[in-house]
Amino acid sequence: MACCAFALYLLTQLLAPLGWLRDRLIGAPTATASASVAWSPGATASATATAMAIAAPVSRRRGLLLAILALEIVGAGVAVAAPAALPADDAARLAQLHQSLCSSVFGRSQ
Amino acid sequence: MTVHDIGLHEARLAVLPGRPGPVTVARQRRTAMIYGAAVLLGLAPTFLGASPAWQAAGLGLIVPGGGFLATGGWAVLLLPVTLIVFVAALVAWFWAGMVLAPLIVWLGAAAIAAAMTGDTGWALAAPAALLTAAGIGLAFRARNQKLRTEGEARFVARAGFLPQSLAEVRRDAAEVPDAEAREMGPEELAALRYLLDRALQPVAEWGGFDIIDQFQPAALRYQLNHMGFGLGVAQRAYCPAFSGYLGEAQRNLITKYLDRKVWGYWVYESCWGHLNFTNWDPARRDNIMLTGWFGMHVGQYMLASGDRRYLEPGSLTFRLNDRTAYVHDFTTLIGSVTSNYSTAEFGHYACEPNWIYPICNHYGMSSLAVADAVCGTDHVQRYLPGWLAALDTEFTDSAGSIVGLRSQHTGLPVPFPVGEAGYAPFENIFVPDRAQRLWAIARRELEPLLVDGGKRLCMPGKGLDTGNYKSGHVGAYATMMFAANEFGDHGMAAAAKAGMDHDCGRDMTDCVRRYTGGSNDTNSYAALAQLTRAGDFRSAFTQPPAPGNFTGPRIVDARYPDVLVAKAVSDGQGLSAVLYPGATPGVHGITLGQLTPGRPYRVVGGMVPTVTAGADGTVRLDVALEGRTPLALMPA
Repeated sequence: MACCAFALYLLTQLLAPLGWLRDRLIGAPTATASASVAWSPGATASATATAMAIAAPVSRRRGLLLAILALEIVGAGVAVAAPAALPADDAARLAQLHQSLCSSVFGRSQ
Repeated sequence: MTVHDIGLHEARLAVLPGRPGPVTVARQRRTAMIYGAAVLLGLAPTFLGASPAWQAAGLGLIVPGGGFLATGGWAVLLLPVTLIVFVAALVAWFWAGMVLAPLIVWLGAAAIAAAMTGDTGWALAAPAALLTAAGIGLAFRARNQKLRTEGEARFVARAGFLPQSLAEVRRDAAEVPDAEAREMGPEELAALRYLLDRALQPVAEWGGFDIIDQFQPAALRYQLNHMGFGLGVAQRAYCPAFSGYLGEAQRNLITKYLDRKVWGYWVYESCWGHLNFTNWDPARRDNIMLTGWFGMHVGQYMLASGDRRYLEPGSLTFRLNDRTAYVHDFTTLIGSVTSNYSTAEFGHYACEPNWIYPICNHYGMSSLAVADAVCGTDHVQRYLPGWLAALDTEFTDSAGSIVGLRSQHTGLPVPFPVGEAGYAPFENIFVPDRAQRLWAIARRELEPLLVDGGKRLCMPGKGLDTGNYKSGHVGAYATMMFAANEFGDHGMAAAAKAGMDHDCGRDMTDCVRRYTGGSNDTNSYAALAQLTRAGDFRSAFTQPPAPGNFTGPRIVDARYPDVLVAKAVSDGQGLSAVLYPGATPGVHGITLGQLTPGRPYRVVGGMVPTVTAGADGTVRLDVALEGRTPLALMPA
C-alpha cells in the first residue's frame, strides 16, 4: 500500500518534534537492517528475520523502557476504549480504513 | 564517439555568487506581486466595513488560517493548526507535485473561517494577521540572510584552496587504468553479485527491492537505474566481451522499468500537477526524473553491449492497460528531453510539475551525451551552453554551490542536499573540467571528517538513507566513494569505503556484499562505487568498448552464480578472460561465440588444449574453476 506509506511519511513530518523528544527521553531506536537488503534468491522469511535480528540488537535498558511505555499506552487505550465494541476482524477493519482514506485519494494502491 | 568539446575550459566557481538569475528574479517578483495583491484584497473587507464573515475570508488570504483570527474565541487556535496542515500541503506539493494542495488548504481555511464567523468578530484580527504574516516573512528573511553570509564565507575559503586541490585532481584523474588489464577482484565480484541476484530473478518479481512510494527517492525507478548503472560499468570496464547473464540482467531491469508499478506515479502527478486527466504519457512533458534517468540507463546498455534493440519503434512501450499504451523507444525518450529543453525558461526543466532539480537535469544532459555516442547526434553541442549558463545563474548560490531545488512557478529555492560530490561524476560525462572543479571542492571540504590518520571518513549524526527514509550513511559514503573513484582519488575512495564498512553493517554472506544499514537503492550505489575506477562513469556514457569486443570471440553463456566472469576482453581475434567459481569449485561449462566457423583455436586454462568452432561460430568449453582462473583463447 504505497499510498499509505506516503500518508505515513506526511505524518512522520508532522510528528518529527515528538520523535526528537523521544530520542532525548528514552534514546533513539537502534537502526534495523533492511529486509530488502538481506534478501537473496531463495531466501526464506525466517532467514531474513534472523539476519535482521542479528543486525538489530536492542539494549536491555531500552527494551525495559519501551515495555513500560507500551504498557502505559495499552492501559490508557483500554481505559478509553473499554465501552466500545471490539472489531470482529482487525484485517477487515484495516482494509476498510485503507479503502475509505487512501483509495479514495490515490485510487487502487500499488 | 566522444562528447563534443564545446570550449568551456575557463575555470570559475560561479558568475556572481548570491545573485539570482533573471528568470528567478522575474518569478520571485511575480510571486511577491501576487501575494501583495492578495494582502490588499484580504484587507479590503475590513477597511470597507463588510460583514465579519467577509472580513474573516479576507484575512484568510493574508496568511493560511488568518481568517480564524477574525472568528475569534477558541477558533483562533485553528490558526497554528492550519499552518501545520499548510506545511504538510507544501510537503505534498514538493513530494508528489500536488500543485493544488497548498492552494486548497489556504483558500479552504479562509472559506471555513468565513463560514464559522458569526455576527461579531475580534476587532484586532487584521493587525494580528498582518503581524503573523510579517513575523513569518521576517523569520525567513533572517534565515536567508544567515545562509547567504555563510555561503559568501565559504566561497572565499574555496577560492583559496581551489587551485592546489584542482591540480591534484587533474593529476589523479589522468591516471586511467589500462583497458586490457582490467579485471574484478573478489570485492568487486561480491558487489556485482548484489546487483545480479536482484536483476536475474524473473522480471515480474521484486525480491530485494524496497517498495515504499513511487514519488520520491525510494521509488523503484531509481533503484532500477542505479542497479543498471553498476551493471553497465561492469560491462564496459571489465567484461565487454561477455554477453550471457550480464546482458540478460541489464535487459531485465529495463523491462521491469516498463511495469506500470514503476511509472504509474505519473498518472497521478499529471492529474494533480498538470490538471491533465487524459494523456498520462510519462515521456512527454516534464518528468526528467524518468526520461533523463531512463535515457541514461538504456543508452549506457546499448553503448557498452552493442545491442541496438531499444532503437526499434515500440521497444520501450509503457502500457497503462489493455486499451492504452504509450509507445516509445530510446529515440523518443531522448526526444522528450530535447523538446523540454527547447522550451525550458529556466534552462533546466521539472521532475514533478513545478519542481526543478538540477541533479535530475545532470542525468538529463548525460542522457543526451549517451544518445550522441550511440546515435551520432549533436544534442550536447546544441543544448549544453544554455544549460550551463542557466546553472551558473538560476541555480547557483552565494557559496558557488548548485541550488538543489527551485520552484518553477514561484522562483523560490528549497533546501535539497546533493553537494558537489553528488554532481561531479555526472558533469564528468559532458563537461569534465567543471566536474574536476566540483570534486576539487568536495574532497577538500571532506577532510575535516577524516579520522584514523586520514584513513577513514566518519560521517556525523545519524544520516538519512533516501532509499527507505530511515537513518543511515550508506548513501553518503557511497556518493563520496563513487566520486573519488571516478576521479582516481584512491585515498579518499579508500577512506569512504572504510567508513562505510565501519558504520554501515558490511555483510558478506554467500560472497554477496551488502550493507545492512542501508536500503536497496544506496546498496546499489555502493556497488556502482565499488566497480568504478578513474573515468569509468564518463566512458560508460561516451565511448563504446574497443571494436574487437563486438567482432571477436566472446562468452555468450555461463551459468550464474556457478561461473563468475571477472574479465572478458577481445581484440577481435582472441579472448582473454578471468573466471571464478561462484558457488562450488569444480568443472563448469561455458559457451563461446562469434568465432570463425570451422576454425581451430588454442585454449589456455581450459580442460582441453584446442577447440574447433562449430558451424554457428560457437563452441562449448569446460573449465576447472578453483579460485581465480585465467582463460585465454587464440587462433591456432
